Amino acid sequence: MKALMMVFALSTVGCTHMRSLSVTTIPQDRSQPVEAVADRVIFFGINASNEYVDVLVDRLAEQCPKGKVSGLLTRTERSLVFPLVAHRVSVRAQGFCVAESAGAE
Amino acid sequence: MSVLLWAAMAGLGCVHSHHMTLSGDFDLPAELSEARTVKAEASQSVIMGFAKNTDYAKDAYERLGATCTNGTVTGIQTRYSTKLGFFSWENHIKMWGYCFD
Amino acid sequence: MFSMMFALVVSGCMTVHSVQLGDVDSTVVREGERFEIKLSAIGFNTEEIAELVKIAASSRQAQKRVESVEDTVAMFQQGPRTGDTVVDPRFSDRMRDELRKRCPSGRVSGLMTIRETADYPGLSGEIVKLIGYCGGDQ
Repeated sequence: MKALMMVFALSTVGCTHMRSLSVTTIPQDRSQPVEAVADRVIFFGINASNEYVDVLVDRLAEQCPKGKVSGLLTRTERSLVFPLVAHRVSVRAQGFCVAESAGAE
Repeated sequence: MSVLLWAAMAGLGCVHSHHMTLSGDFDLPAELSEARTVKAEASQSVIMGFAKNTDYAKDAYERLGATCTNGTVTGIQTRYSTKLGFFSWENHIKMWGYCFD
Repeated sequence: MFSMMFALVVSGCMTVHSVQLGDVDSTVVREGERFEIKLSAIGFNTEEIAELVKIAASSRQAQKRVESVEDTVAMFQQGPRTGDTVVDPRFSDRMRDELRKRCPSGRVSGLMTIRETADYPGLSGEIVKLIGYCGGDQ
């Protein structure tokens, strides 16, 4: 019985649940998709800061140096790494790099 | 009394959890009356908590974009909810927006 | 008895689950008209309802029966939750229609969407609130 419970618990490793999401205006020009992820493995629920998320904007900007990232779908996910011990929080952002033009509104 | 209780409680079996409703910005390239409403949805069935990704959100988003291929979709409203069930559930995302072709 | 008293004391407690804030155009916020849209549905908390029924139950046997009903219903309500469960999650779908009524031009800014719960014993108000500013025609 204990072995069965252990197998069941381990089989849930990687199970992912979405905590929140947000969507911004989807642009007309979708020729250049961009994507970035920021994540952290948290042990025993102890997490001192959420600054790991701050790199997300920089990573998106790096992929779109001469434009604007628009049509952003941002998802916050929680995945099980090891039952009771560790879980991963991931923030995924995907969008499109739109070249800035002189006639932009 | 117990029969009534069973009946009353059983009726609560088909329930949902409403996680969030979001309203995106309105970046209007023209008058709102010139836009057409577009919508898309996607869902994910989960049994015993086994779900490897949250791509249903991406699917809904891409489907919404596909309804307005050569235009801008703005004012996007998103609803994220879960239909609860017997050791299983169904995550559901629905999106609406205004498409300016 | 203590549980019931505690539940009555904390009734009406508000919990915020998520807040989303959009772009803020200072001109629209300063000169536009503020609007607020509140949509809600009644949420059910099976565990709290069962506790209240157990308090009212006349015998230990009746309490055990309530517990078994509660456990059975809980098996049919598995899944991730935000606030209490509702019968129909579509109560917020008309938010965009309400927004269109409040601001026909669609020139809105400072949109803030809040998902919150107002707790009462056994029941709750599951609320989606949208606050924004309407700039009107430009």
